[in-house]
Amino acid sequence: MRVWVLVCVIVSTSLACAPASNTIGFTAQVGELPFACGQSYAMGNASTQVTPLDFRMYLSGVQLRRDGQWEDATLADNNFQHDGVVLLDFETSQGGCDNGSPDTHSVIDVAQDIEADAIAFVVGIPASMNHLDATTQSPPLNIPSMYWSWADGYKYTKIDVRNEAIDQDFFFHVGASDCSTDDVGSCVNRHEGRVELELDPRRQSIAVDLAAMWSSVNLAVEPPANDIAGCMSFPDDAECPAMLGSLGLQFRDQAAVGNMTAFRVVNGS
Amino acid sequence: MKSRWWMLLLVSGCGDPPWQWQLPLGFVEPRVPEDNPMTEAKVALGHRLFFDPRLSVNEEQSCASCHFPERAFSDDKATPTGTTGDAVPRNAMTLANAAYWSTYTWANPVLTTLEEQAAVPLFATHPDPIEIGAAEDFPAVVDRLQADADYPRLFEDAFGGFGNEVPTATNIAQAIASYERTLISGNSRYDRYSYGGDVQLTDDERAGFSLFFSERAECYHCHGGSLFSTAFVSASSTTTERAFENNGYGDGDDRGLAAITGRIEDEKKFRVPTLRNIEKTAPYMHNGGLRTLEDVIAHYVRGGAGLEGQSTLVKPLDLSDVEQRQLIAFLRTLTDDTFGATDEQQDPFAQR
Repeated sequence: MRVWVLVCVIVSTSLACAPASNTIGFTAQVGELPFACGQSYAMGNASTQVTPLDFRMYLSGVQLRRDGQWEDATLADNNFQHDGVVLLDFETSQGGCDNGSPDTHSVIDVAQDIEADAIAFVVGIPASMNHLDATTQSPPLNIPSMYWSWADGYKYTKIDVRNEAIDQDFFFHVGASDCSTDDVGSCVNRHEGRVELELDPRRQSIAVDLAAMWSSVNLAVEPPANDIAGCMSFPDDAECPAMLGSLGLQFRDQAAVGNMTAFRVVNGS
Repeated sequence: MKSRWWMLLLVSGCGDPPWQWQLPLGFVEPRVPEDNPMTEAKVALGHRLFFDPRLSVNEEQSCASCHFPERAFSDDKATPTGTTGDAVPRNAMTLANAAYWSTYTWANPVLTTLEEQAAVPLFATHPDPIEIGAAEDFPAVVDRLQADADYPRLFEDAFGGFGNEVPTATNIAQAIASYERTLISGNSRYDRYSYGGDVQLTDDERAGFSLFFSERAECYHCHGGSLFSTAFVSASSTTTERAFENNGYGDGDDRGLAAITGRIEDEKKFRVPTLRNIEKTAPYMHNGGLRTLEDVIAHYVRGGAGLEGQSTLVKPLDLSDVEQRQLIAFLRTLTDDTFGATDEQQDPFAQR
């Protein structure tokens, strides 16, 4: 602690003073705008007004590339990271994100040097951890609303918006599907995919773009009476192929739709 | 540092053994307020107080008058009547697994502990409905407890004395809350199927299970997790999530969460109730307006009443009569027949 105070005194003339932890930063964005609960944004291919309700996602399988070699990153354990799984949590429980929680987490906290020229991660939770009993797990794997059930496991993403045009919610829940209730852990579709980004984590960070995820969706059209707007990873979910595609994921056995656009590298750590 | 250790030992000592949780498989330790640690003495005292009508102003009702052990600690009425005849506007909720809720009662975001909750029915006074009415003449309540053969010793064990300072209203609420925290139910056929493996579900029950967790029936978004409600916290929770939803059931003029927050978007929102033991806790909804599980499923199949602000997740469902019966068959697997039957869950005055 004293060491940091000293370092801070020395560098505090120009820099924000915090311990130089080994973190890889993320920023939540809607296009070029910063994401915030309580703000209103134009989204979808008809530029429809929405307000956020939730923005959380699990990442795992984090790797760093050094000298051309991918190595598994060892992650710190804290309330948002456990056993190699990270929960990015951009919602603040304020301004429409009522059913969330106040704490946020917008970094991957690595327990080693982060000198690297690229990062890779998987959106989601490893199959071996996805079908545990969430109630008895350590944070961040014990959050009730991020969990479906034993059979289906966790929601890898819970990104929800209020569609102001038609006064309905729109849900984006990625997770494993077609899972057996008899043989727990056996799912036909894992909906996991690896994202690779070239970056220097000490000088650059990763933008997670809500607008990119929704770019294929027409929010101006009301869904059929008994259909719920959104992608919740179930069969015949019309919004899913393109929305999963934006995260670099294939929906079910279909070929990936479009390019991975939801994550991009931005300057500044 | 060392001297503080000794103080801690002295404070937590009081001749009271530390509390040991006996939890069913898949259950985790509940969150317990720091200012009211669990002790066997408090639980034993709370057990008696919970069933004791002498707490009420006219010595007629106890907590158990609206929370019957055989009905998973709910009652059989749409809405209860207080000890002096006041109408209580909302259905008596089950106390099964009450230790784990992030907020208490049907729609109160600031009632976050059982201690605070217990104080409401115990001590509410007009213009709120009187339930137990202990605050109407609290000195008389204390006199009745003091004159009892057992309470002086029980309060001594639990709170270290019985005299000028004890029992306080806080002591009573703390003891009852400690007792309520022990009312844990996790021995249903569903649990034994999921954890024990000694039970098989029927084909209809399994079909209902799959429907429950499907996007067709859409039950599990709100009734998720091991207690079938997302309003769940435990000792290891580092976040507290609220779970208030407008499920399209709007009979009556109860504004729900909006009655406290005043926000238009909270109109008709209520806490997502647990579905464990749902078979035993009829009638249903915040005002007990739906008599049977069939009525509840019919409400959701209709897509609710189409209320202003109704959750987007409540939409008309395309479920056949057979599928609706299968859903109910699954809900009945959540019944814990052993819950409410132990000595600790029965009326101690009836046992004598």
